Amino acid sequence: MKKTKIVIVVILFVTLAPFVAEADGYVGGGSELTVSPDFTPQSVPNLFVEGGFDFFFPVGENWSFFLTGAGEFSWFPITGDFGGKAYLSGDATYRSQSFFSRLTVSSSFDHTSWQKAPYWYQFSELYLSLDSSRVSYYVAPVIVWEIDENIHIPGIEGTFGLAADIQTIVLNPEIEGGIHFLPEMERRTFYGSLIELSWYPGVPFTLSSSLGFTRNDSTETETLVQGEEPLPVNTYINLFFRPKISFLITQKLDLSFSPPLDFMIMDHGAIVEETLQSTPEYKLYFGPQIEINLQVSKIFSLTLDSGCEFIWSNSPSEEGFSWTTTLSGRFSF
Amino acid sequence: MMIGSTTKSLQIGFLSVLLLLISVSLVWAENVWEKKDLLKWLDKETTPTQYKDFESDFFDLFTRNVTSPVVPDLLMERLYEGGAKRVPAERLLDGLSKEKERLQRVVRIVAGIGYTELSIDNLKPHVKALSIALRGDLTFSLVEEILEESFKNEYSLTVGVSACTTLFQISRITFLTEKDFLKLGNALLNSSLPASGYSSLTSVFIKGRGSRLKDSDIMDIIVRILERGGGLVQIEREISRRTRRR
Repeated sequence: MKKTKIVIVVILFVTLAPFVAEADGYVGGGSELTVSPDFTPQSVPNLFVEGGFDFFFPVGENWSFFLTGAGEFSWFPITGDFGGKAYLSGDATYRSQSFFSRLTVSSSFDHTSWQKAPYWYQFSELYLSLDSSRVSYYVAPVIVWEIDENIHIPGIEGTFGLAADIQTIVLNPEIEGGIHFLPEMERRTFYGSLIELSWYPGVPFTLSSSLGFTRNDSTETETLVQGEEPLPVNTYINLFFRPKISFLITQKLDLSFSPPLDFMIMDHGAIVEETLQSTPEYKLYFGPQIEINLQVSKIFSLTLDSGCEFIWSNSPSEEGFSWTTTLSGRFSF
Repeated sequence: MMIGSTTKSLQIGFLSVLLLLISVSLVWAENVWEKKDLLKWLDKETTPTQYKDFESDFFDLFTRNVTSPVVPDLLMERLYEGGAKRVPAERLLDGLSKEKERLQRVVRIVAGIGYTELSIDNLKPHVKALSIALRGDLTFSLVEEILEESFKNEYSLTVGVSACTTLFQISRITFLTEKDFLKLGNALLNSSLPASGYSSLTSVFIKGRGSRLKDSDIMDIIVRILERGGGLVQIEREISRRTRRR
C-alpha cells in the first residue's frame, strides 16, 4: 500500500515537473511597530510570518495557467492577540496576437482574534482586451461575494479602459462602476474614473501615478450623533493622487517612495464635540511611505518598510497620526 | 570661340574646386585619427608630463596591427579620459591595450556578420557602444548572436546595438544569466517594439523589483508578451496585476 502511494507521488511529480518548473515560493517574517502623535508606541509590536507560492503553467503557444496563494499569521505577544489572512487565486489565460482573455477566480480570508467573525472575499473576473503593440482596449466584468461579520454581500462590478504607449510613457484612462447588494434591500453603488501614468525612461528609475475620483453611494444609515436623525454612511466622494517612484541605488539595493494623497467629502455634516455641523465632513489623508529592499543573495531579501499616516478633518475625532515600520525577510526559491 | 573656351575653363575650375571641397569635407567628416593628434596631445600643457616618457609605447599601440581606422579614433577618446583622470602611464597603457583588443574584436564581429557598408563615422558610435557593453557582463558570443539575429531580420546595425545596450543596462541591475539575456535579446529583436523603446525595459525591471517580483519572473513576463506581439502597454498591465496579488 505504502509502495503504491510512493509510485503515485513519483508519477505525479514526473508528470507535473515540466509545468511547475517555473514555480516560485517564498517565506518571510518581520515585526511591526506603530507610533502615535506623541511618539509613544500606540499598539504593541507584533511578529508575523508569511509564505506564499506562484505556479505558472504555460501550455502551448497561447494558453497559460497561473495559481498563486499566500498566507500571513501575526502574533501580538503582549496582549496575546493574533490575526491571520490568506488568499488563493487561479487564472486561465489565452493570448493571441491581438486578443487577450483571462478568467480569474480568487478567494481571500482575513481574521483577527478581536473581530467577531472572519471576513471573506470571493472574486471572479473575466478580463478581455483587444491589443496592438501600442494600444490596448479592455473591459473586465467582475462578480464579487463578500462575507463581512456573517453578512453576505454579493455584487457586480466592471471596468473599461484604454492603455496607450506614448514613447516611454504608458497612459491608462479607466472608468469603473459597481453595485453591491446588502440584506433588506440596501444597496451600495460606486462609480469613478482615473488616469494612470507610468514612465519608463530607460534608466534605473520609474515613476507611476494615478489621479482620479470615486463616488460611493449607499442606502445604509447609522445614528452618528445621539438624538439626531440617522445619517447616510458609506456615502462620499474620494479624490486621489497616488504617485510612486522607484529607483535602484545599487544592483542589490532598491528604493520606492510613495506619498499618496486622498481627499474625502462625506455627504453628512461634520461632527464637532458630538454636535452635527451643517457643513459636509471632509478628510484629508496623506501617507508618505518609503520601502528599502536589499537583495542579500539570489534567494534572500530584506525589506524595511516605513510609513506615516496623517489625517486632517473638520470632525476632530477623525484626525490622527501614526507611524508604522516593518522589517521583514523573505526567502524566494 | 573665345567665350566658349573661357566658359570651359571656368567649368573645369569650378569642378576642381568642388572636388577639392568634397574631399576636404570627406576627410573632415570621416574624422580619421592621425599621428599628429597624439603628438599634439602629448605636448599639451594639461597632459601629465610622465606620459611623454612612454611616447613610443603610445605610438605602437595606436599604429601597430590596427585593423580599422575606427580603433585609434576611439582609443584616443579613452586616452583623453585617462589623462584627465591622471591615470599612471603603465596602467593607462594596459587599459588601452585591453580596449584596443575589445574594439578590434567588435569591428571583426560586425564586419563578419555582414554589416560592411558603413562609413567610419557611422560605425564609430556603434563600436563604442558595444565596447562599453562588453566591459560589463555581456560576452562576445552573446553580442555576436544578438547582432546576427538583427542582421537576419534585415535590421540596421543601430537596432542590434540598441538591443545589446539594453541588455547591458539590464545586466547592471539584475541577476539574470547569459541564457536569459539571449532569450530577452531575441524577443526584443522579433518584437513590434521600436528600437528607441528597448531601453524602457530597464525601468520595467525596476518596477517589477519594487513589487517584489523575481528578475526571472519579470523576464518571463516580458518575453512571453513580446513573443505574442505585445508591447510596453501589455507588459505594464501584467506587472501591475502581479503586483496587486502580493
